[in-house]
This record gives sequence, C-alpha cells and structure tokens, in this order.
Amino acid sequence: MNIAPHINLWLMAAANLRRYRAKSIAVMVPLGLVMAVAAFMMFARGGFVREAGLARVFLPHITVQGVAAGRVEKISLGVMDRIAKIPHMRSVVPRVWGYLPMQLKEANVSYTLMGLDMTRAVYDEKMPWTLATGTFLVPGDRGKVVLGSGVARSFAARVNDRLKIADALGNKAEFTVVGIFNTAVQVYSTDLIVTSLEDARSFFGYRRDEASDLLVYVDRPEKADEVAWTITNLFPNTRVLTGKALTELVREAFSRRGGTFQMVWLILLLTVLLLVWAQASHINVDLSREIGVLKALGWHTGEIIEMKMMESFLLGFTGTLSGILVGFIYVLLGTPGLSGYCLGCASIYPKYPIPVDCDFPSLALLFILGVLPMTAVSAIPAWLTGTIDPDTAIRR
Amino acid sequence: MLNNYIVTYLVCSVFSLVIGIVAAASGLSVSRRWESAGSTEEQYRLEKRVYLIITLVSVGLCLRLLMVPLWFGTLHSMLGSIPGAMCLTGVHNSNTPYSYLASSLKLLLPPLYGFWLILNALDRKVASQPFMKQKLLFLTPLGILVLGESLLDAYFFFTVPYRQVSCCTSLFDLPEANITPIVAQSWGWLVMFYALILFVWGEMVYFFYAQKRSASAARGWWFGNKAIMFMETALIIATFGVFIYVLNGNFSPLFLHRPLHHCIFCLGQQVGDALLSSGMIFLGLTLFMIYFWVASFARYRGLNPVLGDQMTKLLGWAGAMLTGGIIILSVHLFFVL
Amino acid sequence: MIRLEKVTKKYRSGKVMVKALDDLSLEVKKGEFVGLTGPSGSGKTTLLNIIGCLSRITSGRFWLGDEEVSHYPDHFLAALRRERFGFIFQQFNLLAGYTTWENVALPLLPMGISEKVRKGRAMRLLEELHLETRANFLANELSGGEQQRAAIARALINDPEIILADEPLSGIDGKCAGIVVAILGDLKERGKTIIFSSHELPTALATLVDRTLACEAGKLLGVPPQAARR
Repeated sequence: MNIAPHINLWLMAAANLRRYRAKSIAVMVPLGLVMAVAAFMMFARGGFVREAGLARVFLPHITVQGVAAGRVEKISLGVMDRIAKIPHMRSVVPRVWGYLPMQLKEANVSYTLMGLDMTRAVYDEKMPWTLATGTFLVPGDRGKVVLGSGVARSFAARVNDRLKIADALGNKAEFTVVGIFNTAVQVYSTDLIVTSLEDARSFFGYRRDEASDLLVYVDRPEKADEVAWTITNLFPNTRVLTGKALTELVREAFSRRGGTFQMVWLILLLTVLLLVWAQASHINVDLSREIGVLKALGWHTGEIIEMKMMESFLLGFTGTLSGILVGFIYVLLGTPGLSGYCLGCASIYPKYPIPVDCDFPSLALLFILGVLPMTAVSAIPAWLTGTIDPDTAIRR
Repeated sequence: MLNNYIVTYLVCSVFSLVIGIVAAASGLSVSRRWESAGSTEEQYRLEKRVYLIITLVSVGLCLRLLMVPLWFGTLHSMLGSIPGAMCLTGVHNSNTPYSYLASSLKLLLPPLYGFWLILNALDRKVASQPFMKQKLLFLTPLGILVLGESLLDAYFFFTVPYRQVSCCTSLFDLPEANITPIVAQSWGWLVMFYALILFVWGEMVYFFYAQKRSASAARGWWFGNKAIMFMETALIIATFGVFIYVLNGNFSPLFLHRPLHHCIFCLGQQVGDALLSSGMIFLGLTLFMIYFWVASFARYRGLNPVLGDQMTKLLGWAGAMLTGGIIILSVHLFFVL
Repeated sequence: MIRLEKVTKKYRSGKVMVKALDDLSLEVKKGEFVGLTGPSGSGKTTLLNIIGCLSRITSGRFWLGDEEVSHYPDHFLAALRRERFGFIFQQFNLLAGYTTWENVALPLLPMGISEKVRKGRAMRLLEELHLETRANFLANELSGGEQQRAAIARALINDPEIILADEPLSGIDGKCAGIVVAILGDLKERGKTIIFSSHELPTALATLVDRTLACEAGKLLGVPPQAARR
C-alpha cells in the first residue's frame, strides 16, 4: 500500500490551515477553551483522587467513634480491650482531636488539633515521607507539634519556633514546632496541627479514659470490612468507618463537583461542534472554484474528502493540545476564580493549592474527546466539499 | 458511576451509532435505485451518496479500532468500584451476559468494517463496480449490530449492580513447579489447536499460490463457490474458538506462572507478547475469511483477471499475520516449558 | 482518439431543463488540432468539459481511444483526467493562496510525488515558458499573461496527450497571446491532440488548426479554416 499520496494530502491539509488562518483560528480558539475546561477539570480531579489514594496509606484501617443520642460523642477507652481481642487485630490507638476556630488578621479560619498516642503508633515508619522539614513526634514528647503546610504559612512558622495557639473558645497553649508536613498529602494535612495525646487532652479538657475516636489497625487489610462488622455488632453505640469509606468520601466530594463541570463541558463541546459543522458546511464560491479546479487537474473526489478530513483532524488536534496546555497551566496557578468551588464551601485558609495529576490515560482521554468529535462531525461537510460538481464550480 | 473513561466511551459510542445508522440508511436507499450502466442525473447523485457512505464507513472503522482498547480500558477503570473484581473478568461478571455480549461485538465489528472496506477497494478497481449492491446492503446488518452494541454498552454501564462478584482466580494458588503437569491434563486441546492452525496455514499457502497462478486466466475452482465459503468460515470460526479455549486453559496458566489462573484478560494485561500474537492470529484468520467471502461472489470469476493481484496480496497479509502470531506464541511457550 | 456519438447533455437550471448539447457527434484523431468556435452559450465549454471527463453525458456514447467511457464512474474519470488531459481555462483558475510553482505542481501532489521532484518538474516547465523568476510569487501577484503561461505549465506537467484550451487568449494582450499561440504550435509539433475553443478563431491560429468546427445551440457545424478568420 503506497502511503506517499496520503502523506502529500496530509501535508497539503496542514498547509491549508496556515493559508486560511482566520478560519482555522475561529475554530481552534473555542475548541481550545472547551478542552482547557475539560483538562483542568480532569487534572484537578485526578490530583484530588491521587492524594486521597496516597493518604490512604496513612489512614487507619478502621476508625471507631462514640455515638450518643444519634450524635458523635467522646468514646470511652473501656472498649479498647474488647476490640483488641477481635481476630486479625493488630493495634488500637486512642486519638483526641478537635477544631480550632481562630480569628487571624486576614480571615476567620478553622484548624484541626490532633493528639496521637505515640507509644502505640503503627505508621511512624511512613511518617518521614510526609514531612517537608523537621521530624515527627516521638513517644514521650510534650509541648511539641507538627504543622500542616497551610498552618505553617498562616503563622509564618518554621521548625524550632515557639507557637502560641488560642482558639475562639478560650483554649490556649504554647508549643514548639518540630516538623512541617509536605504537600504530598495536603488533602488531609494542610490544616492540621499534630501533637501528643496528653497535650490534646489538656487543650480540649478530656479525661484520661476518654478519646475522640479509636484508630484500629488490622494485620491484613482485606479483613478490615470483616473486623468493622464485628465491632459494629459488639458495640452498637459506636460509628465504625473503614479507611476505604473515608477515601471514597473525599473522592465523592470532588466527583460531584467534577460532575457539574462535565455537564457544562459537554454543552460547551456540543456548541463548538455545531459551530464547526456550520462553518465547514458553508462552501463559498472561492472554495467551490478551488475544488472544481483541483478536480479538473485530476484530483479524485476521495482525495479531496481525505484532505478535508485531515484538516479537521489537525484542527482538532492543535486545538485540543493548546487547550490541554492552557488547562494545565490554569490548574498549576491554582484555578483562580474557581478554587473556592473546586475545594468546596469549607475553604481552607490560607489558599490551598489544587493538586494536579496529569497522567497518560488522562491525556489520551482528552485527545479522544477533543479530536474525535471534531473529525467525525466534519465527515459530512468534507463529503459535501468533495462532491462539488467541477463543471458548475469552475463556471462561477 | 460515570468516570472519565465511561463518559469518553459513551461519547465515542454515540458517534459510532450515528455513523452506523446513517451509513446503513444511505446504503439501503442507494442500493434500491442503483443501476451501474445508468447515466442519468439520478445515477450521478447516487454516486455522490456512495462517497458519503465510504467516508462514514472509513471514519467508523477508525472509531471502532479506537473503541476496542477504550472499552477494555473503561472496564479496567471500574475495578475499584465493583466489590470483588480484581481484573476484567470480575467487571464482566458484574453484569453478565450484557458485558460479554458487548465485548464480543467489540471484536466482531472491526473485521466486519474491514471486510466492507476491502470489498469497496476491490469494487472500485472495476469500472462497472460489480459489488455495489452487495456492499451497500451489507451495511444494514452492520448498522443493526452497531445499534445492538450501543444499547448493550449503555445498559451495561447504567445498570451495574453494587454487589460482590467472583473473579478469575482464588487468592491462593499452587507453586509454580506444579504448572506443567496440571496444564498437561488438557494437552489434547493444545494439540487440536496446533493441528487446526497448521491445516489453515497449509490452506493459506495453497490458495496463495493457486490465486497467483489463476491471475492470468479466469481459473479457480473455488471462485463463486458459496459452499467453500461456508466451510472455510466454519473452519476459521472453529479454529478461533479453539484458540480462545487454549488461551484460557493452557497459555494463561503457563504464561502467568499460576496453575489455577485461567484468565485471558489478565494474560492480555500482563503478557504483552500474548496480546500481540493473539491480535496477529485474529487478524490473519479474519483476512483469510474475508478472502473467501469476496471470492465466493458469483461474478468474481469474471473479475479475477482485474482483482487477482489484490486478492493475492490479501492472502499474503493473512499468511504473514498468522505466521507471525503463531511464531511469537510458540516461542514464548517453548521458553516457558 | 476521441469519439462522441449522438451525445446529449442536459442540466437543470432552476425549473428549466437546459439542453447544452443536442445529439452531437464528433471524432478527433490523434495529433489533430481542432478549433471550436461559437457565441457564448453555444455549448463550447460544455463540449470541452465532456471531452475532458469533467462533466458526464446525459445520453449517447463516448470513447477515448478504445475505451468506452460513457458510463465510467467518477474515480475512473478522474484518473483519465490526471493521465491524459491538460486543461487551460479561460480565467486561468490559478489558486490564490499558492505560489506559481505550487500551482503548476498541483496535479502531481496526489500521485505521491515528493516535493523536491514536483518542484523540479515545475521549474523545468516554468523555465521553458520564461517564468522561472516568478516561481515563488503568489498566483495573484502575476500579470494576466504570466498567469496564463503558468496555467499552461500546469496543464502540461503530467505530459498529457490531449490539451483542452477553453478561450485561453481572452483577458490577455496581443503580445502574450502570441506567446501562447507559439506554445500551442510547439505542442502540436510534439504530437499533442489539441482542442481550442474561442468566440472566433484568431488569425495566428489559422495555420495551426487542422479543422474548425462551429458550435451553435449545442450542435456542431463544420467550417473551413479560412472562413473563420477575423
């Protein structure tokens, strides 16, 4: 099969796009904008989903919360011994945490103070990966904290700084900063202040036999659902969440936002395709004469159709590529104007950078969504152009 | 459960459906009024419509070829959402039989489109375009298949139930050292596969040289012979069926090094050359079948002097694909054993 | 070489059916130079377009050599146009966005010939027609005479056997017309079959044409060359 004629036609198609620049730009710009929307949506969503997946490594297999009168309450540590005896149990770790509503100069914010029992920590070998600077807490630490990157920025805090924290409810304490989380898991950590269990108890006024919840670790992750079910049956006055359910919550939150954009994007794409169709179907006198001359010179109808289809393909490809680049840059810049909606109403202060995930499957899908409809929609206009009657066209 | 893959796939499916339906409707309309010796304005208009059909089928084939990996990629993207699914077998099992029917059509439609385009290319080599009506009418069943496939796809995606599914293998498997004796229990099918392939390959060689010799004179005892066409089609389908069986039962456990792991999806995903060789064998057998479909047309005998060279090339490609695929598969088998 | 037998061409113009050619028969031998004269609307261009396989007959029969092409499909006719015909149009019909050499090489592009070879062949023809200095000018930057010479070069790029020239001298001055006539004379000497259409046959062509035919209301009348001179 001789491919040289086809290559010549494709090169001519590319040259035609340069020759008729105005027409090409009129199609590429709206297509590029539409694909930019699709791209930023896909990269941002991918970023959130990836972070949720990454952070899952650090989440407990099961979280057990106390429930009283249908509301989440403190949990008694008396249940720990019974939970520890369930088969496949590895560790049960009490945790105390709460929100810190604060009024900073720039805004009203709400951070999370979390106290962990470092004597029973099971994730300490992974923790160093999450730190940008400093070290994590060790058993016995008192008066020390590890800050999320967002908190560190708000207080302009660095490792070894002294940090005074006072919330709007009158709770106060002073800590030494020993570490700052990096941005790899910022979905969970950006507004976090991690301290020892005792410091958190002292701050929030918990008794020694109480905790906010219990972190349960099993010896085989595939047994998590089974253990969760057992705990639920043993302690009806608890709420049991698996790690999978928690990450699905995060994924769902951003999927719903992504779903809104998908609808908007599909409508925009349809509009662009209609524009492309209208433009391609309009065959003016000059184009008609040009096709008539080509046919007189021996060009086949099929060759003209192929050239026109290739023009549409190239337009689609270039428009999509530009759109993807614009979308990528827009996400890197933090989706200005839309970051509030992307992150949800509980915006984190200071500005939370949107995570970006750009992988080959996302790019492939974007190219399919941009190039394919463009090419398919141009089939009939290309045919209309290719089947122009040369006799009539040349006489015009 | 509309993730990016599903949305993309559904967009492609909509375009494919529109193209299939428009091509089928146009084909039916043109075939009713076509007269190859006509010179009326009407005939010229019909010729223009044929160009539209060719354009649509060409775009349709490209779309079809894209939709095959996209479909399996989309199924793969659903793994995390279906409890118990660890590979595509699990995803298929979540909504049988629609899933398996849809997957089968994915593999069936590209060869049918390919057949049409090959027939069209041969038809256009002759001024009288002798296969015009046949190729136009063929678009109707093709359009119906595309419609059926689109409905199956949509039904599959929108009715996947959230329930535990079984997958292709158990969590535990036997040590690798035990593979050969276990697989050898079904050696009969492997022998049958190679016997069939050798037979088909021998036929390809025979018909290749017979076609070459027949080019100058309109000889060829199989030209215009529908019975031969049906027999060869049945033989090729049987060969392909046996191939799927041994791929699942013999090649999968051997190549995956797990005696109880019978899954062509896992095989395709984890063993690249298995996917390549399977594709080449499939393509080779399909091209061979297409050859007989074309040669069985009653008027082919008179057209052989014009089309003989192209048909010889078709057989050459069929043989090359089949030979290449079998060699790759067999070399891998040799090293595993 | 070219034989038309009782050819009729009808086309619809609005609600009216127009008969552009009416039961016309014609035979042109290989290497013959035929002049075709007639007023506007007499069917000259239609006849040329039918001979050049650019338009199809409504009824009748049409042979090119030994091939009957009356019922050839569109792609067969396109192949004939590519291989056997060269068109020279009244309005030059060079494509605006292309340079001179690109216009000349247009017929070669879908044949898979590389740009280097296409340009080489185009430049050789442009040199023969003294247009090599204008090779990289855009078509609309050429004068009328230059455009017509470029159009002739384009018609000759595939070395066709049959040249169809539809009023090629209208719209150019006398000096350029002389150049075009000289080119046509040269083509005749090379054995090309030429069909030349014009309102009236120019004096300069009188010695070249082997035969002149008058076209009127879609029919052909044979006219001796002397009577058709201005």
